[in-house]
Amino acid sequence: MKTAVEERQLLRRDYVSRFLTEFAISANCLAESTRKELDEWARQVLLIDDQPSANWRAVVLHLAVAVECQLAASLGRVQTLTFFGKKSALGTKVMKLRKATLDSSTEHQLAARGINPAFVRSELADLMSRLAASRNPKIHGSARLENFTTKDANEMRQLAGLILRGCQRRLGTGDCR
Amino acid sequence: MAAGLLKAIATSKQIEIDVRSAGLAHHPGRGPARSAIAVMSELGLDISGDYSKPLASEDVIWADVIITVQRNHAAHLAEEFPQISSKIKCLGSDIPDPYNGSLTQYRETRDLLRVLLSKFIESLRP
Repeated sequence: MKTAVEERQLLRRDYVSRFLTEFAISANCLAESTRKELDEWARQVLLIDDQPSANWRAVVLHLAVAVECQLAASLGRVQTLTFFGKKSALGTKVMKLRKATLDSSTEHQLAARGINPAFVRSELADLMSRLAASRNPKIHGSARLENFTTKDANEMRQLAGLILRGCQRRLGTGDCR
Repeated sequence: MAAGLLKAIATSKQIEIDVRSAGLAHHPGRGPARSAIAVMSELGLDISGDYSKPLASEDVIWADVIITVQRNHAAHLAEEFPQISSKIKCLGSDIPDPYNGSLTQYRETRDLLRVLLSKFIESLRP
């Protein structure tokens, strides 16, 4: 018989699994740190899933951190893109990505990891920029609003799914983890 | 609403308790919903000065009993603070969140809370 804690772990696994399936992401191709953050994301979602009045801040933040972990673990190991592995604001990484020149060597390294260079070159900066905007506290007048709604959480879910799908290592391209 | 009701019920039954209210996904500094203030004022209770606070470890240690209004909140707390799991009591029913609902929905939630909290207070009697 399963304990309450084990049952909750299964619920979280199932929730993450449905998210990954929806975006055609293989769990085995995500970094361990990414999977850990996705588990915490699911924990926060399941806590307040039926409570529209709750603050969805923790849900939004854990999913954003999961994306950053994956960016660091995948792109951060590619020459020219090592800034993804360093601690800095997401906005700064977006600017660096926009300025980066993806030469043939970088494209080759990306392709060797099963990551589509065209995704990194043309879509990623825009998706990251939108993700950074969704995650950061909203400024209302002079007040920082740290209140997040289900709508914010759904936007983050969509963006995170697209980025994780683009930055997962494809099976058959070496060690996925 | 639950904290305001619990204080009022305990007072009416001449039971001395200290009540703190805190959230697991709180909105920093935000006050109660206007509809919540309105339906509580129908009972002569003023909760307009309350505001949203996070549950802190200090609260968990301080409390003799921690009441949740959702079963998954109780399970979450028990997982996060296994050493105090015996203090955690769920009211016995998942209380619907009336957020953005009508005054009628807020009244229904208030009345459900009142019944369940009255039972809880009775259970404290030796």
